[in-house]
Amino acid sequence: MQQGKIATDALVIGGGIAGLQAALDLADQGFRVLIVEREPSIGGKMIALSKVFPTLDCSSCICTPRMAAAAHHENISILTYCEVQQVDPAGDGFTARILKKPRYVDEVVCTGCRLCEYACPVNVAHEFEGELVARKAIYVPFSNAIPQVAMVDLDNCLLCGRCEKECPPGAIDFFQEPEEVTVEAGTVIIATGFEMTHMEAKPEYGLGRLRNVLNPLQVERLLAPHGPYGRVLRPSDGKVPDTIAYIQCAGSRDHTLGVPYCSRVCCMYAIKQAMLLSGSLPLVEVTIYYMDIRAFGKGFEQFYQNAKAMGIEFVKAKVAKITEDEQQNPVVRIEVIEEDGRVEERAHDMVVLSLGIVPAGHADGVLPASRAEDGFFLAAEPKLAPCRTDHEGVFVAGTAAGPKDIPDSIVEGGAAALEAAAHLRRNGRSPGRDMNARQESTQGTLAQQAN
Amino acid sequence: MSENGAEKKTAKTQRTAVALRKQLGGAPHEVLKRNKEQNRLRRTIVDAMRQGSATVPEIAETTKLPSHQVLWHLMAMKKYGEVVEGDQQGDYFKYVLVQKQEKAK
Ligand SMILES: Cc1cc2nc3c(=O)[nH]c(=O)nc-3n(C[C@H](O)[C@H](O)[C@H](O)COP(=O)(O)OP(=O)(O)OC[C@H]3O[C@@H](n4cnc5c(N)ncnc54)[C@H](O)[C@@H]3O)c2cc1C
Repeated sequence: MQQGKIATDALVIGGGIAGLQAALDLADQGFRVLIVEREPSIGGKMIALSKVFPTLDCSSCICTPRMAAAAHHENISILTYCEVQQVDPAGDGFTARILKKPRYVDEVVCTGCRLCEYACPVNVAHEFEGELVARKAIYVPFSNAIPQVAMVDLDNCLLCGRCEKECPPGAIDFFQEPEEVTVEAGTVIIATGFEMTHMEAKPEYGLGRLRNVLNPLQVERLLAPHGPYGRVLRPSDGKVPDTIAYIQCAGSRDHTLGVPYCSRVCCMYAIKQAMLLSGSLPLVEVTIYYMDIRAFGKGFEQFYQNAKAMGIEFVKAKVAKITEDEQQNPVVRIEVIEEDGRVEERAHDMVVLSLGIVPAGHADGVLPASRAEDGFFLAAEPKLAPCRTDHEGVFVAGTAAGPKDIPDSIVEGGAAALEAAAHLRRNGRSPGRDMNARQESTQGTLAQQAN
Repeated sequence: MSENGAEKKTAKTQRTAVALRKQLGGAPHEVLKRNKEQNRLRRTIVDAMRQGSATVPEIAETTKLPSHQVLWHLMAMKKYGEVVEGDQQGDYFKYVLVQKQEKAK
């Protein structure tokens, strides 16, 4: 296995919006930062969103510049498609072992032209698009991925070599090996984000079984300009939906799932999507089945009121289960709470489950920081220092610490950067020092990619 | 991993994929099987579309394939420029095959 070594001031684990903000705020002060991202691109969940509540700004229009700023910052290095295997305290800093997985494409040589992708004969469900459309076995992860570099999904590859034949710079190398990188850092920021409640959690709601029951990230993609269908259609047969329903708290505030907490963003993303769907499908009727609407943030209540004024129907109801009729219309069985408590069955063309936010990231013991009872990283002093974990020099930002929206994740990214900078200074590391001399990667990819 | 520029240039003829395939004694059986089945579905859909533009339910009806599979393949073909979206007919859009200008190399 290839070996590499990187010395840096701060190691940021996770390149979502919180990690990017933390990295940029440290780098702007002159500290050297290494972002390690598990996926083939930075950007986290935000880069997959269509528009963002409550302003309805285009998400990729505001996320892409942050990604590019980090990628082009002279003090930031980025390693994508990596597994953080272990982070241990070492002296007054930390040593991390990172496995850089092979893309089978040379990141320095690839120009992202996608000729390989067009040449590839294999179609595979595209994870980034909620599996609603295909990608190829060699592919650039998505249109605004950073880095814009192709990768081979070897598990689905026919090894036919057509991609290699088409690749103008000859970037493809099926013998590429994993690389083990040792990182020495003065501080660590955990920004590993969240996952959605797993779809098996509520089998009675049919996610993964009923074709027209979707998760909300799939709907973000349906609403995105370069989404899987280029417009909103339902997956069972391409019908333009006339009626769409949202089921709130489908995976939050539910002790049976081990998710007793409120996921904080689901009310708002459901309202946002309902408004966007009404905008793109003028005749659609959107119903939101809810327990109660939590519109706690700045501008949120007004956003909710606007949705009601637009004609989005809010029905206070408990949803028992979802079945399907012969036309594959999901049928929602509800108890109408606010009226007489009657039980009704209502058919819709499409149903979206407002899934909750659950912890992501590492197995216990990989990072030198504890998790709280809910599984998110523990803030040792939640009131006075919410970004500090229970290990000195390790900080947490964004949804790795608990459910929150984008502005709060960004604020925490900045706060974690400030705490980390203070920690570095306390340990005698001053910003602006030329760290290049200490960066001794054995291989071209690492050295060149790391800026 | 990355070699120097000159060596890289020759990669075009080296075909590391083919070398790996030889080393492994062929592509995995499962992958080959899946791909064959996909090609069959694709051909059936393309044949059904030769008569002209059609909606997903119409193609599903002609081919006797499940409509979700028809949609998935159509959208993949649309993404890679083999199909375009046509007019709307009721609740459904029609899709049209793109005439190939030249045969694939
Ligand atoms: C459907 C939906 C719609 C939403 N809409 C909005 C909205 O309109 N407005 C709004 O403000 N908020 C919205 N949110 C919330 C928003 O997505 C989050 O607030 C935001 O993405 C959190 O950013 P983050 O960086 O903390 O986490 P993430 O976006 O999850 O990023 C974490 C990153 O860390 C990486 N990572 C994870 N584990 C590892 C590891 N072990 N090693 C290395 N890297 C790792 C991940 O791959 C990822 O890139 C929405 C959420 C959902 C689910």
